Amino acid sequence: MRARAVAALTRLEFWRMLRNPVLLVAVGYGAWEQWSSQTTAVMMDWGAVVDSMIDNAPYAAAGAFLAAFFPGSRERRYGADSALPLSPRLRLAALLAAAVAVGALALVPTGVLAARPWSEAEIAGVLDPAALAIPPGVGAAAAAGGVAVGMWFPSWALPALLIAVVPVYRLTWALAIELPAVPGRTMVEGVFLVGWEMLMPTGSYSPGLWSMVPGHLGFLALLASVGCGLALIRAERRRSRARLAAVAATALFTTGALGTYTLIERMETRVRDTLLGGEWTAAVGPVPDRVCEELILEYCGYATYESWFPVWQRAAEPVAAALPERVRADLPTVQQSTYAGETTVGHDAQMLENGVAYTPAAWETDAEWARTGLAEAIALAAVGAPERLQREECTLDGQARHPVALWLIVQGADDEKASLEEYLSLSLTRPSARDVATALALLERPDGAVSEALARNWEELVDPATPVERAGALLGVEVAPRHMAEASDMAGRSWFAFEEGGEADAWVMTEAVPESGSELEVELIRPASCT
Amino acid sequence: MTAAADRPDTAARTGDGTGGLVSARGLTKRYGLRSALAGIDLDIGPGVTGLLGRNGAGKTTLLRCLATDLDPGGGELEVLGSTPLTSAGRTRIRRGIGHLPQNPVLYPHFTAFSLVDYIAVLKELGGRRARHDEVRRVLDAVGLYARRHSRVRRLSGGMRQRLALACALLGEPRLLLLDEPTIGLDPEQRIRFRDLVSEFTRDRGAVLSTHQIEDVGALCSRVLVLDAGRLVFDGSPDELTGHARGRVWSAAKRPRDAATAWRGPDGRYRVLTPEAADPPADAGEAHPVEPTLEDGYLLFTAERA
Repeated sequence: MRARAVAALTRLEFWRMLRNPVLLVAVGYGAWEQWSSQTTAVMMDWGAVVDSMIDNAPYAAAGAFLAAFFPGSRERRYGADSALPLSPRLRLAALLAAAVAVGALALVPTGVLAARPWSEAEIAGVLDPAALAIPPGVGAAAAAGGVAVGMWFPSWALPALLIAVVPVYRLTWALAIELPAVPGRTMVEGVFLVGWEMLMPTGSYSPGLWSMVPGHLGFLALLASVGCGLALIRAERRRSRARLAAVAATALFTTGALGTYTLIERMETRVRDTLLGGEWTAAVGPVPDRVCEELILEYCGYATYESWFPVWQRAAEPVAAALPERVRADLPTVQQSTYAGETTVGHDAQMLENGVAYTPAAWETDAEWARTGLAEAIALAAVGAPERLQREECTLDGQARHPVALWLIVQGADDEKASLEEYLSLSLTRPSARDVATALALLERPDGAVSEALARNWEELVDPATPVERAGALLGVEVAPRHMAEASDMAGRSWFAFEEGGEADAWVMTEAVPESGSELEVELIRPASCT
Repeated sequence: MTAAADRPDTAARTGDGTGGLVSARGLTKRYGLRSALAGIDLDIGPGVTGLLGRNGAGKTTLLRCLATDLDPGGGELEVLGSTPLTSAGRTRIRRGIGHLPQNPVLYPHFTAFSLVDYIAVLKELGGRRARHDEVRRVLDAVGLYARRHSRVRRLSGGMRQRLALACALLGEPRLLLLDEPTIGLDPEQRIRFRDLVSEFTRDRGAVLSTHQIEDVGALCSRVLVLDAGRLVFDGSPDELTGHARGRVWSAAKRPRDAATAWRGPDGRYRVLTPEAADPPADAGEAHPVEPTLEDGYLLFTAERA
């Protein structure tokens, strides 16, 4: 009879919380965020999918927190007649069980959306199914916390504040980082970071760092237990044995949560360090088989990532195809990078290493940066640029091979000039106007003619001693004043401006200053010419 | 009339097959230094038992002890054959009683239906359909079925009182404990309440703590009067009324030695005298009148003041 009553009460509380408009709005907003933040153009692996689920978890979790706060507050403020068969302790237990279930369920919609079941694009990588329990775990912990906070601080001022904060959640980073003058910035940033760390003590699960999943789940379970314990402490009479037991259990849970948190943070650091070494090792998780495919270049990746090969090939093959056949054998192998977070931002300074061109792990198929990043690695390797160029330790400025590299990089683009301009805005090679003008002149010649000229004069063109002025003659193009004007114009629109002639001792870079609207000139020491 | 202290043990002990619902022997309860119940001996069987007494006499404390809401401080207590001193006993008692507390706690954001349904779950009424049928039944019984979808905070004070009564009536309890149940009810609703309780207690028991003496007269077959935590009267309403026989007068003036007196709408004084005797000398023209239950109660409590 009692068990049935507790089950009935749990169901009743569950449905009441699930119907809470605040929860429904929060879940809807979270789902919308999830929907709008993802694009089918991004190549996803399961690690990135789980990261995305966790990234969008705070919205629904905040809703679950609030939906659970109200019954917690209700129990504290009104606490129904105690002369009823179901004791207040059992009532609270039923409420906590219902809250945890609601919290977990609230995270399901965003999780489903993150997995994009409607998309035909294959999700690469291997999934640890236990990782799918992390977002519901976040919701469950938030809901248990909601009941606890409701029991301890029953005033509705807190939810009102939270409801006011949630809509500006997206602006939090802006408040915290982009507008440093905002009063209370440090506090907002601190609260945000603490909340974020509680949800996700690890940095990222991509590409498949599943070894931390048990720790993360354990941490969330302990966090939920802390919430339940705090609620029970508040519900019990003072100086009762049950209250003492609840205090002891909560202290134990808290210690366990902190210990687990420290453990997984250390594990995360260890795994990241291993990955930054460029290898997917057993420290990360089970090492998948390596799979390769050979066209002009060789493409290698981990098993289950084969669906990404065609995308890499669309970027790299046109570069290789434009090169003389005799140099193709020395081109780098294209290989899947083993880590994601550090290589997702534009051009990666470490993309070419030891004769291997690493691909960005998060690749937007409709964005130029990923394509030009890989094409640049192939082109620079082809013209014999040293890998230290990518660390800005030398420059190709003024060398004939520089415009050749620029021309090669945009060979796979639909609009070569536009691609060149976008590339220049991000490039670390910092070509001079003369280099760019020569590349522009090359783009006006038929590709076949340029390739033939490359084949004829390749060795001289890639010789570091050959100046850029000689490139025109070797490639059969004439650099006209309009090319120079267009090159200067392109340079002016890019994020740095370069010196005429490329012979100056310093590069001058202009950077916009957001607060004042003015521009700041930064001088960079021009490195020596690459040999 | 039988003074409580002299009343012999009745056969109406709980669980003895005679229908006894409550049995208390030397029941005490203290709040710090103050004694709220000072050795109550009591047996309650089926029917409505009225509980009268001044504010602070211990009525609510007694009801809360019977409802297992308060632990008795000393003495013996059995309700529905179980002792409230053990967890299992408390649970058994709670399953068999309906308690309408003095200040019922009603969740303001629930609808009337959902609140009664919630309490029905807490009362372990099983099966969703059967439970909902029971909720509808009690809401209909207290005349709130039409307002079942209204939020509690939107209900008037009287409606809330009826809603609390509905909660107490859930599951057809064997013993109803009603603490000031008619506060805030309009006359029509009070009549309906009396009818409801009267119908309910045909084969069950109810303890009605109230200051509305006419409710006691209309409903109760037995009256208990508490004073300073002691049971000072235990008898029928007629016996309590009889306590005032020959001591109630309608007089032109307020006499100095009256136990109590008050001026009526006709300008004459209703005078209760400490002794049955001739009319008070300084009352002017006076003639005896038929006593009421209220007269009996007032005289009883005035004598003990």
